[in-house]
Amino acid sequence: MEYEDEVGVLGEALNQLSSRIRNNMDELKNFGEKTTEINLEIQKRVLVLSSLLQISSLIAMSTKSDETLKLITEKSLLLANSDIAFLLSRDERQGNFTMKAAEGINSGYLLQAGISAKDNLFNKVINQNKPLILDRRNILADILTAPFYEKFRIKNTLAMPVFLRGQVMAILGIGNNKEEFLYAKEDAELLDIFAKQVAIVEENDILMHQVEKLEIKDALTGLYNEAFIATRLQEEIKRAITYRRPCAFVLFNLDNFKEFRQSFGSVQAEAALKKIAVLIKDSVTEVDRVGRTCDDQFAIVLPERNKRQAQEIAGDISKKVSFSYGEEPDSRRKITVSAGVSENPLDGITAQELMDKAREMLGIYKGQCKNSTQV
Amino acid sequence: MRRLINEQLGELLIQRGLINQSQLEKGLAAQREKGGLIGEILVELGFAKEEDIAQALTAQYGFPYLPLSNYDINPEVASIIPGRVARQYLLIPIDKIGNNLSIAMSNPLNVHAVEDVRFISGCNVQTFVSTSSDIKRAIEKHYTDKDL
Repeated sequence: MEYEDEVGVLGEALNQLSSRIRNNMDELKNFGEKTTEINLEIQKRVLVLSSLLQISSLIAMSTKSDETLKLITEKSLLLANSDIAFLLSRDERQGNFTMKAAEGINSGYLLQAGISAKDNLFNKVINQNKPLILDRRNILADILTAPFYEKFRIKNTLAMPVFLRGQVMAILGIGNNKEEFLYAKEDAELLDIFAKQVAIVEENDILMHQVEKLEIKDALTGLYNEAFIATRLQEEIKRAITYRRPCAFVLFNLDNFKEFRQSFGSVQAEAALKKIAVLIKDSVTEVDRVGRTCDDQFAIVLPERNKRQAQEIAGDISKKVSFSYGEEPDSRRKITVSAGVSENPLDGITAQELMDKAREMLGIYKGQCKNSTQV
Repeated sequence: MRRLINEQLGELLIQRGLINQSQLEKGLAAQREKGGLIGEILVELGFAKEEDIAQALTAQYGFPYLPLSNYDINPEVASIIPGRVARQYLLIPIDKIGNNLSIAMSNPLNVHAVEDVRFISGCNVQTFVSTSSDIKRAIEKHYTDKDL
C-alpha cells in the first residue's frame, strides 16, 4: 500500500512537473513570439525613421518637389499595415482636391480620383484641423463615409491635414483593409511628421518660385532676363503712350547656334554668348535695356526710338558681330545674328504684341538668308 | 527729347508773351508731379489757350495752322494710319494727293512720329498744326475703339 502510494505520488509529481514544464514552454514560446513582434515593430520604426531622414536629405538637396512628395507618400505606406497611401493637394481658390501622389494597391486607379469641394468627409478634416481616423473605434455616419469607402476601396483610414501658412493645403492619408483594425497613437504621430515634411516641401517650392520671380539677371551674361525685359518693355510702352513718343524693341537670334554648340562644346558656346552680350551692351545707351531672353536670343528695349532708329541700331550690331568673327578661318566659327525689330505704336501697344512681332520677323527671316535686319 | 520739347515750347510761349516764367514753372512742377505734356498742362491750368499754342508753333516754325473743326476728312485717307498710331501721337491724316500725305498734329516737333507716318504710309508727309482737342475729336469720329 505504501509502495503503491509512493508510486502514485511520484507519478502525480511527475505529471505536475511536466505540466509545469509545458506551461513554461508555452510561456517561453509566447515570449519568443512577443519578442519577434517587438523586434518587428522596432524594425518598422527604424525603417520609418530612416525614411524620414531620407526625405529630409532630399529636401535639403532641393530635389524636385514632385519627386520628394512621391517618396513621402511611398514611405507613409510603411505605417500601420497600410495597403494604400495618398497625398491630396487642395486648390486654394476652388477648394477641390486633386490626387498628387498615390502608392500601394489601386494606386493607378486612385491617381485618377479627384475629390470635389463638396466632399464632406475631407472638408471635415479641413474645418476641424484635426486628423481624420476611421477604424473599429472611430466610426462616422454612413452618409459621410460611404462615398469615401467606395472611392478609396479601403476599410480603415488615417488622414492628416498638411498646413501651409495657417491653411490646409493638402491631406496625407494611409489606409488598409484589415478587419477589426485600430490605429495607434504612434501611427498618427508618425504620419503627422510625414505631413509636416510635405508642408516643408511645398513651402520650399513656393519660396523657390518667388526667388525665381525676383531674379532679374541672366546668370551667364549678367544681362537682364526675359521676365525683366518684358516688364521693362511694358513700362516703357506706357511711358511712350503718355508722352506721345515711340518705343522700340529688337530681338536678336544667333544663327545656327545649335550647330556651333555641337561642334565646339558648351564652354566655347558660353564664351561666344558672353562676347556677344558685351558687344550688344556696348552698342546701346544707358537708358536702353539689354537682356538675354533665351539660350541663343538677346533683346533690347529702346525707349524714345522709332522703327527707323531701331533698325539702324540692330543693323550696326549685326555688322559688329559678323565683323568680330570675320577673321575666323573656320567658317563654322563665323557667328552671325539676325534681328527682328518692332515698335510701339506701329506694331502694337503691349509688350506681348511687340515681342510677338519681333519673333514673327525672325521666323519669316529664318532659313531665308543670314545676317540682315528684318523690319 | 522730352526736355527739349518742354523747353522749346515753354520758351516759345514766354517769348510770344502768352505765359510768364512763373506760370511755366508751375506747369513744369505739375508735370513732374503727375506727368503729361507741358502744352496740355498749361492749357489745363488755364495759363494758355490751345489755339494760342497752335498759332505760336505756326508763327515760330512755319507749320500751317489748320482748324480741324471745319475740315472734312476723307475716311479712306484716315485709314492709312492705324488708330493706335493716331491716338498715341495725337495726329490724323487729312488729305492725300498723289504721294503726298497731309496730317494734322498737335505737336509737329515730334519728328519720330512724322517719321513713323512716313514709314507706314510710304508717302511724303506734310504736317499741319491743330489743337489737341480738335484732333482728339477727329480721331474719335474716324476710328472706332476696335481700330488698333
